[in-house]
Amino acid sequence: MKYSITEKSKKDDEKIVRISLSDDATPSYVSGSKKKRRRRESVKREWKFVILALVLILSIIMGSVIRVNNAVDYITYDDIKGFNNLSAVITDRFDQLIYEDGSVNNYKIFGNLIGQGESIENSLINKHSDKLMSDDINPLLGYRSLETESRIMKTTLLSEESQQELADLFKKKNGCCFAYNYETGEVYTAFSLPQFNPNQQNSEYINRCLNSVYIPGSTMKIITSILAVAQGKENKKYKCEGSYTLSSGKVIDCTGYHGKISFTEAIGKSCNCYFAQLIMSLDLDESLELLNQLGFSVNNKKLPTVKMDELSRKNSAVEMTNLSSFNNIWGLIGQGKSRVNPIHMAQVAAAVVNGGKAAEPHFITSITNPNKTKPEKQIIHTATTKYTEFMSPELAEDTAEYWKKAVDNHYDLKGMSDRITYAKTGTAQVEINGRLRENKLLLGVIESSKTAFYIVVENSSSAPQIFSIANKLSELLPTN
Amino acid sequence: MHKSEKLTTKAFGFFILIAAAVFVIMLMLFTINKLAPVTKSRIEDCNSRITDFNASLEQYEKEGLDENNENVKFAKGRVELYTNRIKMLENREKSYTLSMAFVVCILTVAAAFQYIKTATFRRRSIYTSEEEICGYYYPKISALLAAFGILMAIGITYRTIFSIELFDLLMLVGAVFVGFVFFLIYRRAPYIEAKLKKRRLKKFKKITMADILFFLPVVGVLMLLAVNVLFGVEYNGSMLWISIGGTTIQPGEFVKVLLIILFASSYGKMWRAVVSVFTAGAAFLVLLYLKDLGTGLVIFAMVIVLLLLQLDNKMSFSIFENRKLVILLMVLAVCFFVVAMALFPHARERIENVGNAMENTERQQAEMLRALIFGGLGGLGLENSNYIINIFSINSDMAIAGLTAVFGVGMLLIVLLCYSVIIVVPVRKYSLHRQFYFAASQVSIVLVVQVILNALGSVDVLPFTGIVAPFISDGGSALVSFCAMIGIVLATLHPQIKSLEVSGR
Repeated sequence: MKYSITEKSKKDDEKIVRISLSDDATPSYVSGSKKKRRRRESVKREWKFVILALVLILSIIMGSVIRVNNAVDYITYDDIKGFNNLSAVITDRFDQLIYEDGSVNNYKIFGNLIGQGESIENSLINKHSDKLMSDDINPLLGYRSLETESRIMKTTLLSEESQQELADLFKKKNGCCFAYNYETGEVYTAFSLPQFNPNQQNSEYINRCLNSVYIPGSTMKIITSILAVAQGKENKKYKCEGSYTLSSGKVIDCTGYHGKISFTEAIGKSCNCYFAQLIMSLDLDESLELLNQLGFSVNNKKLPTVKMDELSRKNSAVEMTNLSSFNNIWGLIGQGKSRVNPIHMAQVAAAVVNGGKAAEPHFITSITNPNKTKPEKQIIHTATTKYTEFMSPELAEDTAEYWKKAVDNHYDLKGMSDRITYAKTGTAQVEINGRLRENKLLLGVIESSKTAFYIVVENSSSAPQIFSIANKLSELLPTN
Repeated sequence: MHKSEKLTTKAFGFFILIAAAVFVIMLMLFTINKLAPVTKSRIEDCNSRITDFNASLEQYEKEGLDENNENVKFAKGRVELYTNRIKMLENREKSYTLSMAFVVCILTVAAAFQYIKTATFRRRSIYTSEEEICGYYYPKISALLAAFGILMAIGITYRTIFSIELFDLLMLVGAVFVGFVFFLIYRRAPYIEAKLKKRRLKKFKKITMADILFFLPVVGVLMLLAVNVLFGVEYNGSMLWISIGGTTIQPGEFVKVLLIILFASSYGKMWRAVVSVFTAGAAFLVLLYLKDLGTGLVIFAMVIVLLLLQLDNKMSFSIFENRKLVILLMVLAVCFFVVAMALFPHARERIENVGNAMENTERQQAEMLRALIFGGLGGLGLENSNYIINIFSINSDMAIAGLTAVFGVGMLLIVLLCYSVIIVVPVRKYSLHRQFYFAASQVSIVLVVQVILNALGSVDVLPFTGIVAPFISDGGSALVSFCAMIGIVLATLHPQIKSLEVSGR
């Protein structure tokens, strides 16, 4: 039945049609059974609308709840910090506060290592955010069940003042400085200049110790020496006439005229001609194998990223296809296509001195949660020392002996402190925007405090400056 | 109906209204109690910001920067902004109390009015019996008024957390007044027509109220759209506002009310129905052009419901007697929608962006989701409401989610129940005259679409369309248009309406 016309009349020349479908307005002539049926239909219809309304309410609530539940995974450390104004506390190795709330005053030299926000991804806070914040969400109370006391991350770093002293010695030059204890793995310093400034829009986000590779300059000769000692090629003497011409006609320049010199002398005087002839005598396959063992990415081979306390560092890379070609020789001397990571170089140097193995660097001593009452539950993370074996102990011992001899007898050590037992300087020529620039690099080991270090000062060729940084570092280190 | 039954239903109706008034008063007391410390801390915050900016202004002076420098301008603007905010915060408890008192007044007056009406109705009633009023209309109207009052009260409370000024109160009074005017016009349309007829010249004798209620909205819609396109003020990237005497008005909101009246009055004539559907199509296109996807979607839903009602066997109208035509129009409408979505990249972009709000942490939906997570089921609470004060359009386009974030899921449930009362009551029974049923169903669908888009759009389940929550969100135009809709619904619900046919020639 479509509709019922209950009344028709003519008023003011207009047809007025009265239509009603409700049982309430059921005209009197509709029979009883019809009335009942209509009432049933009407009740059904009412329930339909009520059920639709309930579905509406439920769908809105369920939709929101499901979406919010999915969004929980995206909550970051910064979000929680923004909500309850409670950030992690980070201390140096002497329990001095070095970072509290990310404000400018507490930020200084650690900026691009500790990190802030998502701008610096490879940073301590970002990689350990899960340990630094409470991740148990109370579905009833939300995040109001958060902790009231900050979690504490104790790092192995030197104090802020001493690191700043080192940074001042860079004299506004860019660069980086990495030093760590090769027995325990504790990193003493890993700063990078220019430092991160949270108030600056395009600030420096990269920590060069972790995320950069440098042309190694003569510091590469330590690696080449390891190759030579491993293959027993170190006993031969070669002649240096100021330059060496390869069979292809290309010339390798030297720092001076050295005459007929030995291996130790060549390391000490950093003679390019000697090393060119030495490299040509090396065996390609054996060298490749050893370089691989030392952790170099040879010929663009992809290596797994090395992680220290979840922070990743870049891999060093060497190109080596033919040991008599100019490019490869030049690469192993320290120019060309060789690229080294400061942390990696320090590790290799430490391995040489420490009988073939060196500890993996780590930045964090412990992370504790003071909100827990039981002491054993307070500790979230503690440091463990792991060792990486880079070479055999014999090889390490032999190489260390040559290096030591070279440093003691043939090295020009003017201005360098006695504490530094092993050292190798390097000067790398870098072409940036068509202009040739020189970087000064220093690889060294301080045996008294079991420390290996690598320092880079960009756009500088002054040896006294880099020595002064190393001297200062040796003074600041804790002695065992 | 037995006499005792009558009494029960009467009592039930009163109970609903009185419960609403008690709820409103409780809400007021609770909020004032909790609001004072929040206000204090916020004033302190503003003061410290002012001193900061004054210090930097002094610094700029020392550096010798002139007034045209951008930093100086910015700092001065900020000082002014925070000074104004302090003034507003000092006044807000007063404004809030006055607004709430106004809402309580509405509810009380409505209760009294209903009671008197019921008591005196029997004598004047010709067609409707008292049983009908007590058993059917009275609780229905009471429930609707109570839901309306609670929503208004919650809206005022919510807006007070972020901003409320005495101007808002004026707007509230104005909106309710406009709603009442619509109620009167709509309810008394037949009387007005009869009176007009007596005084009218012979020439215009054939013009009926239905004609007036048809032509005025058509002209009104087209004029509003033209004014919006010509004099639109750009704000937040869309041109939905026109500026009149210092305040801004959003014509798109009034288009909805006019379209409801238009659809209702097109009942009975084919050409009118076609004209009204095409007017709606034009409004849809213009609003999409003005980047108002939300109102466009609402109008689309209105047209679809209008056409769907034709297919209902029991509600077959006389607008389109041809079913094939209805189906054709529906297919055309859907095609139209798809083509419009393809044509307007900003609309498509919003639809494509659904579901990945958290990947861009700066987006307001991401901020809202975080607030909801931190709040939990209990909500952040008034004392933590500062956390979400900076979310953009927190008290307009994100009102329902924001309300949940502050007061918790319980408040969301109350709000949704109130909405569903207002949505379901007008369409529960087909007892109304069709013309009024048209209007009532259109109001319901507008509410449904707005509530769903507002609630789920701001939590990234549906596209974020920038649509307001009825009665809760900030915004005078929207409040006025929704009060007008409530006026229309109340007019259609009135027991007398059944006895007063509007002539359908």
